[in-house]
Amino acid sequence: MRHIRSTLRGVAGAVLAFATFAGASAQSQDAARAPLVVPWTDIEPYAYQDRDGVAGLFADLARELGRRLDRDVSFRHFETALAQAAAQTSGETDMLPGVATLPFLRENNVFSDPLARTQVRILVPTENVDAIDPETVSGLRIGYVPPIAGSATTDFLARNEGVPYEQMALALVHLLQGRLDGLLVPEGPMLALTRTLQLDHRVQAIGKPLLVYDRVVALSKRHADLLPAINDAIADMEADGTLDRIRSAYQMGVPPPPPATLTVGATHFPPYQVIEADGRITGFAVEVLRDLAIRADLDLRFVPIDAASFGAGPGPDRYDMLPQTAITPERQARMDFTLPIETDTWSLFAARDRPDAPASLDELSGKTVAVTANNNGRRLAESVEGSRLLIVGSVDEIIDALLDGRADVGAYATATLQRALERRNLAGRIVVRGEPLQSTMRAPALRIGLGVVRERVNGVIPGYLVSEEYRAHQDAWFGEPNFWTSERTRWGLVGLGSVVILLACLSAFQAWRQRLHDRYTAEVEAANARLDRQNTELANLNADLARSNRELDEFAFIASHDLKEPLRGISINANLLSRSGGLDDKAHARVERMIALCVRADELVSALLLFARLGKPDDKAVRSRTREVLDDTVRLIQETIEAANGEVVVETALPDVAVAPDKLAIVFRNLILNGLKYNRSGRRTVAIGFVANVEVEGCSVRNAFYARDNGVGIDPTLRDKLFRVFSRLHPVTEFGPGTGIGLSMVKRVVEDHRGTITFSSAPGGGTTFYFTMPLAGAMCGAHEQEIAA
Amino acid sequence: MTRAASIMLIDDSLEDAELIKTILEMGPTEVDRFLHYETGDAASDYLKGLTASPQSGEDLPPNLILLDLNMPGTDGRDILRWIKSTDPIRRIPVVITSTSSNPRDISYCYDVGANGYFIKPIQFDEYTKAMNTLMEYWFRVLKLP
Repeated sequence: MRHIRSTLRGVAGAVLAFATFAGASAQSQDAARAPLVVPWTDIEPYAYQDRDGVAGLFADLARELGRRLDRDVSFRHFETALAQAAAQTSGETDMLPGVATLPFLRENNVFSDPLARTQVRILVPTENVDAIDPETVSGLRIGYVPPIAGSATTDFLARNEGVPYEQMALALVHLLQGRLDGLLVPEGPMLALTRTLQLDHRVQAIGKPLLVYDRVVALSKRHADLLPAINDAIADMEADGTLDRIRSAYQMGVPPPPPATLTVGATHFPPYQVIEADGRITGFAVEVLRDLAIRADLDLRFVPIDAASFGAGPGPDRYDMLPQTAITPERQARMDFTLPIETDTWSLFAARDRPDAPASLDELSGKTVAVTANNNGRRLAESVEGSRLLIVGSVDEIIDALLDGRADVGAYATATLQRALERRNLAGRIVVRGEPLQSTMRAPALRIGLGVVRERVNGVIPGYLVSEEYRAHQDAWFGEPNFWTSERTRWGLVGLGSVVILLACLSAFQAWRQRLHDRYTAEVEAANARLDRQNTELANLNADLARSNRELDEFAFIASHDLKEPLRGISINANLLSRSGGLDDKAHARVERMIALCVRADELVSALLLFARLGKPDDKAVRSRTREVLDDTVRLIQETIEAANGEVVVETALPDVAVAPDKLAIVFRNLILNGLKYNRSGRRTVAIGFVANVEVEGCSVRNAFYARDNGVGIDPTLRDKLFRVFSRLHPVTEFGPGTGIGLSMVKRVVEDHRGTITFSSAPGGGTTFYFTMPLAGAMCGAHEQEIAA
Repeated sequence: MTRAASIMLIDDSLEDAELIKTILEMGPTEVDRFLHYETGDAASDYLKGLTASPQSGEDLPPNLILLDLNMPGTDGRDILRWIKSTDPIRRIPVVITSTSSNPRDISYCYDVGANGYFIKPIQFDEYTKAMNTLMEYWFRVLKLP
């Protein structure tokens, strides 16, 4: 952003050069050896304030001239370009180098020979270069920033449609959008702008310049005597390249268009550029650039250059490109770079027997640092106050200086110096000190004005960097030399053998595992098949069982019906006979007995049906509030209890159970009725309760309900008979009739719910039945606590 | 209001038929007619004849049918379904008299349209009491078609 803004100001400055304003009268001053006063105002790239004072084209020229004239130069700041020009016109200031030959300056100034030249040309999009002839074209929309001087520009704008802009950048944007056909601009500053925006490949100046003007040194007439010396100095500067350097630094020159064959300058700088004894030019950067040129369809010609030419960088009169160089801000100002190829580092090097040698820039003060003239290492070392530079001619001389002690430390490109050390088998004697001083990208460099070439190379770089060719170059130029020594070869073979053996073992192991896996898989599959078969069989069996259960249930009903029918027939006949009135007392008693037996048989059949159907599983997860079921049961048999002069006592809290209420009722009813029936006590009692833990006949029972009666007790020898269906322990005459099915049903209900039933008893001492039932979830713990309390 | 009862009993058990007839004769309800059919087929034939020409007093349909379920041949379930799907006799109330306490039988009968389900007691006194209650209910309490 800052670049763009400063460049725009540069453009504004260039335009300002055409402005006219009233002059001021000259004043004569005696200024024999006084400093030459140079006016400046803040317009990049002509003059601007930087860290070290006034910088820019005007400042550089002024200092250079002052040095060559042996005169001090002092800068005087003005707020505006107008004020600056007015000061020079009026004679308030002495010298303004780099300015155009503005008419109003002539009044009180003399002009030197030209320092630089600026031309105004037509700029069009690159794709339209061949379609537009600026000599004849008419009717185009042309953007320009007024005022524009010169008759040719006036004619051109008259033929076409001039569209005035305040900012050159906006005109450029409109040109690229297609809203304008061309721009009429001072070429140098415009090039600076497009280059800053990385759009220099999208536009191109065409045709002859419509306006050309020189930049000169305006010298106050008071100092006219200095003019010959200034012209001599300019000639010298032109001769020794100083002017060229300054012009290109500030883009005052207009670069020629890209040539058919690009010239690439190469110095001997291994491993990047290598000039062989036979003059052949090669090296990592050279070969990489050759590959890139093939891919980008560029024609290259490599020429050897000396260190000074390398230092000057690519330029119109020297060469077009460098194969590769580090991208630094200073270089970016005067040359173009493609996308970076690789990262480059600079490090400090020292002899290994110098452990005290500096390891960072901070420690360079007071030390002698070996550098070469044009390497970035020199700039890094120079930046440290108090460092002493030992400038030598090559990387090998840096190494020599470190070995013989002339230098404490060397500063140089890390990879290049290491490569040199390897070449000379000195890798162990010279070592890198500390972290790299700087890390910079390397890229091919181009002279300014080759934006089209730059973009073509940029187009192929990303693909090239991942290619085999690029890797091959890296290996060839940066790989370890002579890596396969005989010892390494031997060890390599040993290693390879080990790897082969290891791989063989590994594959054998894998094969073994695969076999195991296969066998295991086969077994699992077989087992699965068996399981499937068994599941199918189980499903079939379950279906059979369900059908069988249904049929059995039906059978129980039908059997009970069919058994009852003849009983009913006998009973009805006996009843009719009994009521006929023709029987004597004895016969009547027998018929009544027949009727009673029929009733008893009917009860047995009904009981049997009930018992048979007890085994039917509960429909769903059920739950009974035990206490409520018990109370309901007692209420239903209340008359029987009272007839027996009995009572039912509930002694503890009763936890809820996961049993259907009707089945739980069967258990309570039968136990209570049993306890009351087989009982000779005056007050017959059945006590119901729950214990968390109880010992019964040597067995521990947990979470048991109990029903304790004060009845006749049970003879232990009859224990096995107790729960058998239809078995009765006492004759009818003793305790009356019964089906003998009651306790069987209790046992069946309990066991159907995975409970157990047992009892403790002594003949004459009453009986306590203990039974367990699945408790209903969380209630269990609460009740246990309640009971324990 | 007492109304004359015309009862049809369909039951293969002669004992039951005799007992019911005896109970009815002894009971408070005046029974005009007591028809007993031992098979379902015979009963349905009679009922079909009625529907064809209901003119004479003899041909008037019974106003209560007592039906046993388990019979040889056409069984009570088939008779019940036929009665309850045939106009106009489907209006005659049918009370099932059976010894079966199978819940499936009970559900089936009510589903098909039985008007009552009566499990025959084995003891004479209970049987008498139950039958009298039945008669009381159907011929004194309810209004029949």
